[in-house]
Amino acid sequence: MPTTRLVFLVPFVFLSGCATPPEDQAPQDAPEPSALSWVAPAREFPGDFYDDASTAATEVIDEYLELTDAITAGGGRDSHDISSVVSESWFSEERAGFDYYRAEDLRSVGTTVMTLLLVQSVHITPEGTLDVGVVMCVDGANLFVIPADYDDPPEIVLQWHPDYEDFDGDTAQWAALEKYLSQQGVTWGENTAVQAWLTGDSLHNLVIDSWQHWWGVYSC
Amino acid sequence: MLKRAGSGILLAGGLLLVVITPAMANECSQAAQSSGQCLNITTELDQEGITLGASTSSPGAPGQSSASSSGSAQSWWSPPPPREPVLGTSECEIKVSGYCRASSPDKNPTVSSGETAPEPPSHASDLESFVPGAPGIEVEPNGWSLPRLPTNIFARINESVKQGELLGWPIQVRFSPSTYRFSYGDGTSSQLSVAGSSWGSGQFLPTATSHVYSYPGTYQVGLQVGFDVAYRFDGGPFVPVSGTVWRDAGTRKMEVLRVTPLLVEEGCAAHALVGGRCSESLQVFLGFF
Repeated sequence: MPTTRLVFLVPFVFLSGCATPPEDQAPQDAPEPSALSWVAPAREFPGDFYDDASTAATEVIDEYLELTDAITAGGGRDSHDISSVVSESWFSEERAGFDYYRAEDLRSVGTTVMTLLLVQSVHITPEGTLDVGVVMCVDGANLFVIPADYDDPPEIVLQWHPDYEDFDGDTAQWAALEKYLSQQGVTWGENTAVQAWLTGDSLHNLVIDSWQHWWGVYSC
Repeated sequence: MLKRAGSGILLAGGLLLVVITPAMANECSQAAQSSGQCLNITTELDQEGITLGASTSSPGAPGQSSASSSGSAQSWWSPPPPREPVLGTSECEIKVSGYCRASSPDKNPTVSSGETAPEPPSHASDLESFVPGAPGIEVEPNGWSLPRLPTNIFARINESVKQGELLGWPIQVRFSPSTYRFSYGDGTSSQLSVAGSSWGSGQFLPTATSHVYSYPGTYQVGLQVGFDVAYRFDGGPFVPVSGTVWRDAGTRKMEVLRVTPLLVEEGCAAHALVGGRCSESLQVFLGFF
Protein backbone atom coordinates (compact mmCIF):
# COMPACT_ATOMS: atom_id res chain seq x y z
CA MET A 1 0.00 0.00 0.00
CA PRO A 2 1.51 3.31 -1.01
CA THR A 3 1.00 4.92 2.35
CA THR A 4 3.92 7.25 2.05
CA ARG A 5 2.72 8.46 -1.30
CA LEU A 6 -0.76 9.08 -0.01
CA VAL A 7 0.35 11.00 3.00
CA PHE A 8 2.54 13.16 0.84
CA LEU A 9 -0.40 14.17 -1.28
CA VAL A 10 -2.82 14.65 1.51
CA PRO A 11 -2.07 18.19 2.61
CA PHE A 12 -2.72 20.10 -0.55
CA VAL A 13 -5.34 17.79 -1.97
CA PHE A 14 -7.33 17.91 1.19
CA LEU A 15 -7.17 21.65 1.49
CA SER A 16 -8.13 22.14 -2.07
CA GLY A 17 -10.99 19.75 -1.74
CA CYS A 18 -12.55 21.88 0.98
CA ALA A 19 -13.27 24.64 -1.45
CA THR A 20 -16.10 24.62 -3.92
CA PRO A 21 -14.73 23.41 -7.22
CA PRO A 22 -14.39 26.40 -9.53
CA GLU A 23 -16.27 26.62 -12.75
CA ASP A 24 -14.57 26.71 -16.08
CA GLN A 25 -12.76 29.90 -16.70
CA ALA A 26 -14.79 32.21 -18.84
CA PRO A 27 -12.99 33.52 -21.92
CA GLN A 28 -11.62 36.91 -21.31
CA ASP A 29 -12.46 39.54 -23.82
CA ALA A 30 -9.65 41.44 -25.39
CA PRO A 31 -9.19 44.90 -23.90
CA GLU A 32 -11.16 47.54 -25.66
CA PRO A 33 -9.09 49.68 -27.96
CA SER A 34 -8.26 52.96 -26.42
CA ALA A 35 -9.00 56.05 -28.42
CA LEU A 36 -6.08 58.12 -29.49
CA SER A 37 -5.69 61.31 -27.59
CA TRP A 38 -6.02 63.48 -30.62
CA VAL A 39 -9.39 62.09 -31.60
CA ALA A 40 -11.22 64.13 -29.02
CA PRO A 41 -10.43 67.60 -30.35
CA ALA A 42 -11.75 66.64 -33.76
CA ARG A 43 -15.19 66.19 -32.24
CA GLU A 44 -15.22 69.74 -31.02
CA PHE A 45 -15.22 71.30 -34.45
CA PRO A 46 -18.49 72.64 -35.80
CA GLY A 47 -20.59 70.17 -37.68
CA ASP A 48 -19.83 71.69 -41.07
CA PHE A 49 -16.14 72.07 -40.40
CA TYR A 50 -15.22 68.98 -42.33
CA ASP A 51 -17.16 70.24 -45.33
CA ASP A 52 -15.36 73.57 -45.22
CA ALA A 53 -12.04 71.82 -44.78
CA SER A 54 -12.85 69.56 -47.71
CA THR A 55 -13.59 72.54 -49.94
CA ALA A 56 -10.43 74.32 -48.92
CA ALA A 57 -8.27 71.24 -49.31
CA THR A 58 -9.76 70.45 -52.70
CA GLU A 59 -8.82 73.87 -54.03
CA VAL A 60 -5.26 73.56 -52.85
CA ILE A 61 -4.81 70.03 -54.13
CA ASP A 62 -6.30 70.80 -57.53
CA GLU A 63 -3.85 73.65 -57.87
CA TYR A 64 -1.01 71.47 -56.64
CA LEU A 65 -1.71 68.81 -59.25
CA GLU A 66 -2.08 71.38 -61.99
CA LEU A 67 1.23 72.99 -61.07
CA THR A 68 2.95 69.63 -60.75
CA ASP A 69 1.82 68.61 -64.23
CA ALA A 70 2.93 71.94 -65.64
CA ILE A 71 6.37 71.72 -64.06
CA THR A 72 6.95 68.13 -65.11
CA ALA A 73 5.70 68.95 -68.60
CA GLY A 74 8.54 71.44 -68.71
CA GLY A 75 11.07 68.81 -67.72
CA GLY A 76 11.18 69.69 -64.03
CA ARG A 77 12.35 73.21 -64.50
CA ASP A 78 10.55 76.01 -62.69
CA SER A 79 10.17 73.81 -59.65
CA HIS A 80 9.89 76.91 -57.53
CA ASP A 81 6.41 77.46 -58.92
CA ILE A 82 5.11 74.75 -56.62
CA SER A 83 6.13 76.71 -53.53
CA SER A 84 2.87 78.63 -53.51
CA VAL A 85 0.93 75.53 -52.52
CA VAL A 86 3.39 73.61 -50.37
CA SER A 87 5.02 74.31 -47.03
CA GLU A 88 8.63 75.28 -46.79
CA SER A 89 9.55 71.97 -45.25
CA TRP A 90 7.77 70.00 -47.95
CA PHE A 91 9.21 72.04 -50.77
CA SER A 92 12.49 70.16 -50.61
CA GLU A 93 10.62 66.96 -51.37
CA GLU A 94 8.96 68.57 -54.33
CA ARG A 95 12.18 69.95 -55.65
CA ALA A 96 13.86 66.58 -55.40
CA GLY A 97 11.04 65.05 -57.41
CA PHE A 98 11.30 67.66 -60.12
CA ASP A 99 15.10 67.47 -60.18
CA TYR A 100 14.77 63.85 -61.20
CA TYR A 101 13.02 64.90 -64.38
CA ARG A 102 15.85 67.22 -65.21
CA ALA A 103 18.51 64.70 -64.31
CA GLU A 104 16.89 61.96 -66.37
CA ASP A 105 15.79 64.27 -69.15
CA LEU A 106 12.13 63.40 -68.76
CA ARG A 107 8.93 65.29 -69.30
CA SER A 108 5.27 64.58 -68.80
CA VAL A 109 2.31 64.75 -71.14
CA GLY A 110 -1.24 64.78 -69.91
CA THR A 111 -2.95 65.59 -66.68
CA THR A 112 -3.36 64.27 -63.18
CA VAL A 113 -6.71 64.76 -61.52
CA MET A 114 -8.08 64.29 -58.05
CA THR A 115 -11.42 62.54 -58.15
CA LEU A 116 -12.51 61.99 -54.57
CA LEU A 117 -11.46 63.54 -51.33
CA LEU A 118 -12.29 62.86 -47.73
CA VAL A 119 -11.11 64.93 -44.83
CA GLN A 120 -10.03 62.32 -42.40
CA SER A 121 -8.81 64.23 -39.41
CA VAL A 122 -8.04 67.72 -38.26
CA HIS A 123 -5.55 68.63 -35.60
CA ILE A 124 -4.90 71.93 -33.94
CA THR A 125 -1.24 72.13 -33.10
CA PRO A 126 0.00 73.68 -29.88
CA GLU A 127 1.03 76.66 -32.02
CA GLY A 128 -2.56 77.10 -33.11
CA THR A 129 -2.17 76.05 -36.71
CA LEU A 130 -4.40 73.55 -38.42
CA ASP A 131 -3.22 70.21 -39.67
CA VAL A 132 -5.77 68.73 -42.03
CA GLY A 133 -5.39 65.12 -43.05
CA VAL A 134 -7.14 64.06 -46.24
CA VAL A 135 -7.42 60.88 -48.22
CA MET A 136 -8.19 61.09 -51.90
CA CYS A 137 -8.04 59.36 -55.23
CA VAL A 138 -5.42 60.80 -57.53
CA ASP A 139 -5.74 59.58 -61.07
CA GLY A 140 -2.50 59.70 -62.98
CA ALA A 141 -3.51 57.22 -65.64
CA ASN A 142 -3.57 59.95 -68.24
CA LEU A 143 -0.21 61.36 -67.35
CA PHE A 144 2.58 59.94 -69.42
CA VAL A 145 6.18 60.36 -68.41
CA ILE A 146 8.43 60.06 -71.40
CA PRO A 147 11.98 60.89 -72.44
CA ALA A 148 12.09 64.54 -73.33
CA ASP A 149 12.98 63.89 -76.95
CA TYR A 150 10.05 61.57 -77.59
CA ASP A 151 7.05 62.71 -79.53
CA ASP A 152 3.86 63.36 -77.65
CA PRO A 153 1.49 60.41 -77.47
CA PRO A 154 -0.81 60.23 -80.48
CA GLU A 155 -4.33 61.36 -79.93
CA ILE A 156 -5.58 57.80 -79.99
CA VAL A 157 -3.39 57.04 -76.99
CA LEU A 158 -4.51 60.03 -75.00
CA GLN A 159 -8.10 59.34 -75.87
CA TRP A 160 -8.27 55.68 -74.97
CA HIS A 161 -5.56 54.96 -72.53
CA PRO A 162 -6.18 53.33 -70.11
CA ASP A 163 -9.73 52.45 -71.04
CA TYR A 164 -8.81 49.61 -73.33
CA GLU A 165 -11.83 47.66 -72.28
CA ASP A 166 -14.09 50.08 -74.08
CA PHE A 167 -11.90 50.61 -77.09
CA ASP A 168 -13.40 49.34 -80.30
CA GLY A 169 -10.97 50.88 -82.75
CA ASP A 170 -9.63 49.26 -85.83
CA THR A 171 -6.43 47.31 -86.22
CA ALA A 172 -4.40 50.34 -87.20
CA GLN A 173 -5.46 52.21 -84.11
CA TRP A 174 -4.57 49.27 -81.91
CA ALA A 175 -1.20 49.13 -83.55
CA ALA A 176 -0.65 52.82 -82.87
CA LEU A 177 -1.59 52.39 -79.26
CA GLU A 178 0.68 49.49 -78.69
CA LYS A 179 3.54 50.96 -80.61
CA TYR A 180 3.63 54.07 -78.52
CA LEU A 181 3.12 52.40 -75.17
CA SER A 182 5.74 49.77 -75.81
CA GLN A 183 8.50 52.29 -76.31
CA GLN A 184 11.34 52.11 -73.86
CA GLY A 185 11.02 54.77 -71.22
CA VAL A 186 7.32 55.48 -71.63
CA THR A 187 5.46 55.16 -68.36
CA TRP A 188 2.13 56.29 -67.08
CA GLY A 189 0.42 56.64 -63.76
CA GLU A 190 -2.59 55.03 -62.22
CA ASN A 191 -5.55 55.84 -60.07
CA THR A 192 -4.34 55.52 -56.54
CA ALA A 193 -5.29 56.63 -53.07
CA VAL A 194 -3.16 59.32 -51.58
CA GLN A 195 -3.04 60.68 -48.10
CA ALA A 196 -1.94 64.26 -47.67
CA TRP A 197 -1.55 66.66 -44.84
CA LEU A 198 -2.24 70.31 -45.27
CA THR A 199 -1.26 72.92 -42.79
CA GLY A 200 -2.03 76.57 -42.28
CA ASP A 201 -3.23 79.26 -39.94
CA SER A 202 -6.76 78.79 -41.19
CA LEU A 203 -8.68 76.91 -43.82
CA HIS A 204 -8.05 79.80 -46.17
CA ASN A 205 -4.29 79.45 -45.94
CA LEU A 206 -3.68 75.76 -46.29
CA VAL A 207 -0.60 74.43 -48.03
CA ILE A 208 0.49 70.85 -48.59
CA ASP A 209 2.87 69.55 -45.95
CA SER A 210 2.97 65.85 -46.71
CA TRP A 211 1.99 63.54 -49.57
CA GLN A 212 2.07 59.78 -49.58
CA HIS A 213 0.28 56.81 -50.95
CA TRP A 214 -2.57 55.50 -48.88
CA TRP A 215 -3.98 52.01 -48.93
CA GLY A 216 -6.25 52.35 -45.97
CA VAL A 217 -9.98 51.96 -46.02
CA TYR A 218 -10.39 54.06 -49.10
CA SER A 219 -10.16 52.16 -52.30
CA CYS A 220 -9.86 54.06 -55.54
CA MET B 1 14.43 60.58 -54.30
CA LEU B 2 13.75 57.84 -51.88
CA LYS B 3 12.51 58.38 -48.41
CA ARG B 4 12.62 56.05 -45.55
CA ALA B 5 9.57 54.22 -44.47
CA GLY B 6 7.79 55.27 -41.39
CA SER B 7 4.13 55.64 -41.84
CA GLY B 8 1.22 54.14 -43.56
CA ILE B 9 -1.99 52.62 -42.41
CA LEU B 10 -2.71 49.48 -44.24
CA LEU B 11 -5.76 48.02 -45.78
CA ALA B 12 -6.90 44.59 -44.94
CA GLY B 13 -9.04 42.93 -47.47
CA GLY B 14 -9.13 39.29 -47.65
CA LEU B 15 -10.51 35.88 -47.75
CA LEU B 16 -10.65 33.97 -44.51
CA LEU B 17 -7.41 34.76 -42.82
CA VAL B 18 -5.70 36.06 -45.89
CA VAL B 19 -5.21 39.75 -45.77
CA ILE B 20 -3.76 41.77 -48.57
CA THR B 21 -2.24 44.89 -47.26
CA PRO B 22 -0.16 46.83 -49.69
CA ALA B 23 1.10 50.11 -48.44
CA MET B 24 3.30 52.92 -49.48
CA ALA B 25 5.53 53.43 -46.57
CA ASN B 26 7.12 56.68 -47.47
CA GLU B 27 6.22 60.21 -48.24
CA CYS B 28 6.71 61.04 -51.86
CA SER B 29 5.65 64.00 -53.94
CA GLN B 30 3.27 63.55 -56.84
CA ALA B 31 6.01 64.40 -59.31
CA ALA B 32 8.22 61.72 -57.81
CA GLN B 33 5.38 59.25 -57.83
CA SER B 34 4.60 59.92 -61.47
CA SER B 35 8.13 59.17 -62.48
CA GLY B 36 8.50 56.02 -60.43
CA GLN B 37 10.89 57.38 -57.84
CA CYS B 38 8.91 56.19 -54.85
CA LEU B 39 9.34 53.02 -52.92
CA ASN B 40 6.34 50.79 -52.43
CA ILE B 41 6.10 48.43 -49.51
CA THR B 42 3.49 45.73 -49.69
CA THR B 43 2.49 43.29 -47.03
CA GLU B 44 0.54 40.11 -47.39
CA LEU B 45 -0.58 38.05 -44.47
CA ASP B 46 -1.44 34.40 -44.71
CA GLN B 47 -2.27 31.87 -42.08
CA GLU B 48 1.26 31.41 -40.91
CA GLY B 49 3.17 34.55 -41.59
CA ILE B 50 3.66 37.70 -43.54
CA THR B 51 5.35 38.43 -46.82
CA LEU B 52 6.78 41.86 -47.30
CA GLY B 53 7.46 43.19 -50.74
CA ALA B 54 9.22 46.25 -52.00
CA SER B 55 9.13 47.76 -55.42
CA THR B 56 10.32 51.03 -56.72
CA SER B 57 7.93 51.89 -59.45
CA SER B 58 4.20 52.16 -59.49
CA PRO B 59 3.48 53.76 -62.84
CA GLY B 60 2.64 51.63 -65.79
CA ALA B 61 5.42 50.70 -68.10
CA PRO B 62 5.85 48.79 -71.33
CA GLY B 63 4.98 45.20 -70.80
CA GLN B 64 2.86 45.89 -67.79
CA SER B 65 -0.27 46.67 -69.70
CA SER B 66 -1.30 45.22 -72.96
CA ALA B 67 -4.09 45.50 -75.40
CA SER B 68 -4.98 42.73 -77.73
CA SER B 69 -6.16 43.06 -81.26
CA SER B 70 -9.48 41.62 -80.26
CA GLY B 71 -10.17 44.64 -78.21
CA SER B 72 -9.95 43.04 -74.82
CA ALA B 73 -7.45 44.19 -72.29
CA GLN B 74 -5.54 42.76 -69.42
CA SER B 75 -4.86 44.82 -66.38
CA TRP B 76 -1.48 44.15 -64.83
CA TRP B 77 -2.56 45.60 -61.55
CA SER B 78 -5.76 45.62 -59.63
CA PRO B 79 -6.48 47.36 -56.37
CA PRO B 80 -7.21 45.36 -53.26
CA PRO B 81 -10.88 44.86 -52.52
CA PRO B 82 -12.42 47.52 -50.32
CA ARG B 83 -13.28 46.50 -46.83
CA GLU B 84 -15.78 47.97 -44.51
CA PRO B 85 -13.82 49.28 -41.56
CA VAL B 86 -14.82 48.15 -38.12
CA LEU B 87 -15.52 50.95 -35.72
CA GLY B 88 -13.19 50.84 -32.79
CA THR B 89 -10.31 49.23 -34.61
CA SER B 90 -7.08 51.01 -35.24
CA GLU B 91 -8.31 51.73 -38.74
CA CYS B 92 -11.43 53.42 -37.57
CA GLU B 93 -11.21 55.20 -34.29
CA ILE B 94 -14.43 57.10 -34.82
CA LYS B 95 -17.00 57.45 -37.54
CA VAL B 96 -18.49 60.69 -38.72
CA SER B 97 -21.32 60.66 -41.22
CA GLY B 98 -20.58 57.04 -41.92
CA TYR B 99 -16.93 57.62 -42.68
CA CYS B 100 -14.02 56.59 -40.60
CA ARG B 101 -12.06 59.44 -39.17
CA ALA B 102 -8.83 59.84 -37.37
CA SER B 103 -7.00 56.79 -38.52
CA SER B 104 -4.02 58.41 -40.10
CA PRO B 105 -0.44 57.43 -40.19
CA ASP B 106 1.94 59.66 -38.37
CA LYS B 107 2.32 62.93 -40.10
CA ASN B 108 6.01 63.15 -39.45
CA PRO B 109 7.44 59.68 -39.43
CA THR B 110 10.66 59.25 -37.61
CA VAL B 111 13.63 59.21 -39.88
CA SER B 112 16.47 57.29 -38.44
CA SER B 113 20.16 57.13 -39.05
CA GLY B 114 22.06 59.24 -41.44
CA GLU B 115 23.06 56.57 -43.87
CA THR B 116 22.17 57.06 -47.46
CA ALA B 117 19.64 54.72 -48.91
CA PRO B 118 20.83 52.59 -51.76
CA GLU B 119 19.71 53.80 -55.12
CA PRO B 120 17.31 51.21 -56.45
CA PRO B 121 17.05 50.11 -60.04
CA SER B 122 14.11 51.51 -61.93
CA HIS B 123 11.75 48.58 -61.55
CA ALA B 124 13.24 46.54 -58.79
CA SER B 125 11.17 44.41 -56.53
CA ASP B 126 11.87 42.12 -53.67
CA LEU B 127 9.96 39.79 -51.40
CA GLU B 128 10.72 38.22 -48.10
CA SER B 129 8.53 36.12 -45.84
CA PHE B 130 8.50 36.12 -42.10
CA VAL B 131 6.87 33.79 -39.61
CA PRO B 132 6.54 34.12 -35.85
CA GLY B 133 8.28 31.79 -33.48
CA ALA B 134 6.50 28.57 -32.54
CA PRO B 135 4.43 28.74 -29.36
CA GLY B 136 4.39 25.99 -26.78
CA ILE B 137 1.79 24.56 -24.41
CA GLU B 138 2.45 24.14 -20.73
CA VAL B 139 0.22 22.06 -18.44
CA GLU B 140 0.46 22.14 -14.65
CA PRO B 141 0.79 19.83 -12.88
CA ASN B 142 3.20 18.33 -15.32
CA GLY B 143 1.01 16.45 -17.75
CA TRP B 144 -1.61 15.34 -15.25
CA SER B 145 -4.41 16.75 -13.17
CA LEU B 146 -7.40 15.87 -11.08
CA PRO B 147 -11.10 16.15 -11.84
CA ARG B 148 -12.97 19.21 -10.59
CA LEU B 149 -9.78 21.05 -9.79
CA PRO B 150 -8.19 23.76 -11.90
CA THR B 151 -5.59 22.58 -14.36
CA ASN B 152 -3.24 25.35 -15.28
CA ILE B 153 -2.84 25.41 -19.05
CA PHE B 154 -0.90 28.28 -20.49
CA ALA B 155 1.00 29.37 -23.57
CA ARG B 156 4.72 29.77 -23.78
CA ILE B 157 5.50 32.45 -26.34
CA ASN B 158 7.00 35.90 -26.31
CA GLU B 159 7.03 38.81 -28.69
CA SER B 160 9.62 38.32 -31.38
CA VAL B 161 11.25 40.55 -33.97
CA LYS B 162 12.49 39.01 -37.18
CA GLN B 163 15.16 40.65 -39.28
CA GLY B 164 15.22 40.82 -43.03
CA GLU B 165 16.26 42.88 -45.97
CA LEU B 166 14.36 44.34 -48.90
CA LEU B 167 16.22 45.94 -51.77
CA GLY B 168 19.21 46.27 -49.55
CA TRP B 169 17.29 48.02 -46.81
CA PRO B 170 16.95 46.49 -43.37
CA ILE B 171 13.43 45.54 -42.39
CA GLN B 172 12.10 44.14 -39.17
CA VAL B 173 8.83 42.37 -38.55
CA ARG B 174 7.45 42.23 -35.05
CA PHE B 175 5.09 39.47 -34.00
CA SER B 176 3.21 40.21 -30.79
CA PRO B 177 1.10 37.37 -29.40
CA SER B 178 -2.36 38.71 -28.69
CA THR B 179 -4.93 35.95 -28.89
CA TYR B 180 -4.84 32.42 -27.54
CA ARG B 181 -7.23 29.71 -28.62
CA PHE B 182 -7.09 26.82 -26.21
CA SER B 183 -8.85 23.57 -26.99
CA TYR B 184 -9.02 21.34 -23.95
CA GLY B 185 -9.79 18.03 -25.58
CA ASP B 186 -13.01 17.60 -23.64
CA GLY B 187 -15.15 19.33 -26.19
CA THR B 188 -14.62 22.79 -24.79
CA SER B 189 -12.38 25.62 -25.84
CA SER B 190 -11.61 29.19 -24.93
CA GLN B 191 -10.27 32.19 -26.76
CA LEU B 192 -8.33 34.34 -24.35
CA SER B 193 -6.27 37.47 -24.56
CA VAL B 194 -3.72 36.36 -22.01
CA ALA B 195 -1.09 33.69 -22.31
CA GLY B 196 -1.27 32.70 -18.68
CA SER B 197 1.62 31.83 -16.46
CA SER B 198 2.92 29.21 -14.10
CA TRP B 199 1.25 28.56 -10.80
CA GLY B 200 4.36 29.08 -8.84
CA SER B 201 3.52 28.08 -5.28
CA GLY B 202 -0.25 28.29 -5.63
CA GLN B 203 -1.01 24.86 -7.03
CA PHE B 204 -4.55 23.93 -8.03
CA LEU B 205 -5.74 27.49 -7.75
CA PRO B 206 -7.72 29.08 -10.57
CA THR B 207 -5.72 31.17 -13.02
CA ALA B 208 -6.66 33.29 -16.00
CA THR B 209 -6.07 30.33 -18.28
CA SER B 210 -6.88 27.36 -16.06
CA HIS B 211 -9.46 24.79 -16.99
CA VAL B 212 -11.46 22.32 -14.95
CA TYR B 213 -11.92 18.81 -16.23
CA SER B 214 -14.99 17.02 -14.96
CA TYR B 215 -13.95 13.47 -15.61
CA PRO B 216 -10.83 11.36 -15.55
CA GLY B 217 -9.32 10.47 -18.87
CA THR B 218 -6.69 11.28 -21.43
CA TYR B 219 -7.04 14.61 -23.19
CA GLN B 220 -5.24 16.33 -26.02
CA VAL B 221 -4.78 20.00 -25.25
CA GLY B 222 -4.38 22.24 -28.28
CA LEU B 223 -3.36 25.84 -28.73
CA GLN B 224 -3.30 28.36 -31.53
CA VAL B 225 -1.71 31.73 -30.96
CA GLY B 226 -2.71 34.81 -32.91
CA PHE B 227 -0.08 37.46 -33.49
CA ASP B 228 -0.42 41.15 -34.18
CA VAL B 229 2.09 42.09 -36.85
CA ALA B 230 3.98 45.29 -37.46
CA TYR B 231 6.95 46.05 -39.61
CA ARG B 232 9.68 48.61 -39.45
CA PHE B 233 11.63 49.74 -42.44
CA ASP B 234 15.16 50.93 -42.01
CA GLY B 235 14.81 51.77 -38.36
CA GLY B 236 11.64 53.81 -38.67
CA PRO B 237 8.62 53.39 -36.44
CA PHE B 238 6.74 50.13 -36.50
CA VAL B 239 3.79 50.21 -38.86
CA PRO B 240 0.93 47.92 -37.83
CA VAL B 241 -0.47 45.51 -40.35
CA SER B 242 -4.17 44.78 -40.26
CA GLY B 243 -5.02 41.18 -39.64
CA THR B 244 -3.66 38.37 -37.55
CA VAL B 245 -1.12 35.68 -38.18
CA TRP B 246 -1.92 32.37 -36.50
CA ARG B 247 0.58 29.82 -35.40
CA ASP B 248 -0.33 26.36 -34.18
CA ALA B 249 1.35 25.09 -31.07
CA GLY B 250 0.30 21.52 -31.74
CA THR B 251 -1.21 19.41 -29.00
CA ARG B 252 -0.11 18.09 -25.68
CA LYS B 253 -1.38 14.96 -24.01
CA MET B 254 -2.48 15.07 -20.40
CA GLU B 255 -4.02 12.65 -17.95
CA VAL B 256 -6.84 13.51 -15.61
CA LEU B 257 -6.54 10.94 -12.89
CA ARG B 258 -9.28 9.02 -11.21
CA VAL B 259 -9.99 10.07 -7.62
CA THR B 260 -11.27 7.64 -5.04
CA PRO B 261 -12.16 8.35 -1.41
CA LEU B 262 -9.85 6.40 0.80
CA LEU B 263 -9.66 6.26 4.54
CA VAL B 264 -6.19 6.14 5.94
CA GLU B 265 -5.35 5.87 9.55
CA GLU B 266 -2.46 8.29 9.40
CA GLY B 267 -4.96 11.11 9.19
CA CYS B 268 -6.75 10.23 12.41
CA ALA B 269 -5.33 10.88 15.78
CA ALA B 270 -4.30 7.64 17.36
CA HIS B 271 -6.45 8.11 20.39
CA ALA B 272 -9.52 8.84 18.24
CA LEU B 273 -9.34 5.80 16.00
CA VAL B 274 -12.11 3.49 17.03
CA GLY B 275 -12.97 0.49 14.95
CA GLY B 276 -11.25 1.90 11.92
CA ARG B 277 -13.09 5.21 12.15
CA CYS B 278 -12.24 8.52 13.66
CA SER B 279 -14.43 9.09 16.60
CA GLU B 280 -14.16 12.90 16.63
CA SER B 281 -14.69 13.60 12.98
CA LEU B 282 -14.55 11.74 9.75
CA GLN B 283 -11.29 12.37 8.02
CA VAL B 284 -11.50 11.54 4.36
CA PHE B 285 -8.46 11.77 2.25
CA LEU B 286 -8.06 11.34 -1.39
CA GLY B 287 -6.03 8.73 -3.04
CA PHE B 288 -5.63 7.99 -6.71
CA PHE B 289 -4.93 5.06 -8.91
